Amino acid sequence: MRAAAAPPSEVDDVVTTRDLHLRIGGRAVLDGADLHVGPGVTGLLGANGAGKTTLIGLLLGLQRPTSGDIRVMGLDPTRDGPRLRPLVGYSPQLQVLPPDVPAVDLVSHLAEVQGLPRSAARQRSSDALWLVGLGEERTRRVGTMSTGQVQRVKLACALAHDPRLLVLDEPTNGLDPVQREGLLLLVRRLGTELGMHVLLSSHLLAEVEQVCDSVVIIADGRATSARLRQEQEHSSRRLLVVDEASAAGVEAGLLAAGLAVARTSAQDLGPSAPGEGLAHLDVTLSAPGHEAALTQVLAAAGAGVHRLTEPRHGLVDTYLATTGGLR
Amino acid sequence: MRAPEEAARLLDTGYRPYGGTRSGVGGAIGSLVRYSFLRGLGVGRPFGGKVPIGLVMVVAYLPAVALVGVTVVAGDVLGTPLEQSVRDFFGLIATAVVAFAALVVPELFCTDKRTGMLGRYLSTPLTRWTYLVAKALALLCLLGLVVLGPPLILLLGLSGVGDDPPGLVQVLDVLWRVVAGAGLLALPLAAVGAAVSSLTSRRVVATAVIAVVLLLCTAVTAILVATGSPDPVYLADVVSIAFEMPYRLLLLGETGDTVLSGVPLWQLLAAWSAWVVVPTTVVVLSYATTKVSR
Repeated sequence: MRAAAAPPSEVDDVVTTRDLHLRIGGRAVLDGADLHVGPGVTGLLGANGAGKTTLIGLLLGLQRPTSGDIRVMGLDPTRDGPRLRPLVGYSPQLQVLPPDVPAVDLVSHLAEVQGLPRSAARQRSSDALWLVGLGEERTRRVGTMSTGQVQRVKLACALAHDPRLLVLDEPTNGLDPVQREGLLLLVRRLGTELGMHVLLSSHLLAEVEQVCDSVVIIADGRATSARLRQEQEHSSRRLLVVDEASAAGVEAGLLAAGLAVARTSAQDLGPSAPGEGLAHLDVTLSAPGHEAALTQVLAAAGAGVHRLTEPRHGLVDTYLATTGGLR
Repeated sequence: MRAPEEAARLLDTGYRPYGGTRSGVGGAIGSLVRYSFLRGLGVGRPFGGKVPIGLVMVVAYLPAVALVGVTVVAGDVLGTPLEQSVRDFFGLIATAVVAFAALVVPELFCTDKRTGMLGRYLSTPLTRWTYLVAKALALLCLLGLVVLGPPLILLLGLSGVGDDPPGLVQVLDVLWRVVAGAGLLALPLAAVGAAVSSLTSRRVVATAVIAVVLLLCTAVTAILVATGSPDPVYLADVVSIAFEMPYRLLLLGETGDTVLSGVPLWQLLAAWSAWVVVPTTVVVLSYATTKVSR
């Protein structure tokens, strides 16, 4: 029987914490973290040792907080752990599995422990292994598999019992670029097509940026939440690098066309500053015709354009601001 | 020609939501007990994982099967009452029981820690304590196979071919004492094995330490008694205590010819309880402090 929690579509807050404190050996791992994880795919970012895995342990009820309140899909993990955990699929960071067990047996066993009847667990373990791309390999013993395949078996273990929330702790560790791309695409698909909420823990900004709708950044025991995709989809900024000689003309033309433009100094840009003889303009498009107007102004000025880019969503900026930058 | 709806079949519906029932904590415990029991027996493991356990089972069961077989073919060659035969048989399988405890218990406890399965189990409806309950049940089932199976074969086999005990009531009377005796024998050995295994994730280390602890207990106390120490020193020997309990139960309080026959029953029970409670406490404390979120 399903635990009495709201179905995913009705859940506004998948995870919330309020004033969460956790001290281990005198060190404050979490120091008043207020966390909000909404529906969809959420990245959990933080430097190595920031407390991401510890936070996951708290969300699963594997550890007790020193103080504060945690709710995962409306349930308190500390008190309602046995009711909550069947709704969660967890793929831990540790990359070892029993080496002498066939993948399908392992996935099936864990699905059974999560409460599925044996026949359903068997069927769904095969489905989960096909989904992660190991259908043909499902009867192989785990010890004979590559690191990438083991990561996929771990994902299948987390998926087979049809969780509402998938918690993946560093799922791309040890994968080559092709394997990583494949796994991230799959994670994105789980969050969009299969309707699961996903919490993806990582210290790699690029992979969080690639698949997540929002992000939670852990630093100095505190948590900061931010949306990613909405900002990305509605970005109205363009970063323009032109010859210094034509910069004044371009700037005047853009202003005349009604676009907001600001010249960014080399000091502000830091390491990403354009080279000698180049100017960096930050252009804001605020009306539907501004994209075309920008192109026309550049063509009319005969400017040498070195770069015209759409800023992704400022995850690096958000991360650096949260973590205190390059300390 | 068949209609299209008859000719076509949907073979793979792909991954889809599950809307059926979920069994909760009880189902999780049952599933883990079954899986651990089968793993302990070597089922689903490569050949190398089956050999030691298979050998132990042969050592445990062969004498019982052989005795029953000889009795069927050649008649009652033992010439002892059935009750006495069963009682003596607990001593005969001592080696098998100790070896079984040393080989099986680490497989049950250490492997989960070493392979990360403990963390995975605790991310299911199981808690540390329900996990331990499941493991304890699996362990008792496995130990029961060794300590209970052979005496039962002997009891049922010999009572089937001979006249002793004369009736069903008498057979049942011996039977309950065999069952109770087997439980009393298994518990302290299982507890010691579990305590050692809870302190390490390395199966080989645990196996070696359990074997050494059990053998050393027996050897050291035997030496102490031989050099003039009083009989209660034997209470430090978990193996002797474990095997004395079925003797006492089957003899119904008579003093026999065992090494602990001079020790009062209350001392024996106190020592037996200590050998169960102290190792169990070690297991509980060990799992209460184990970090599992990785």
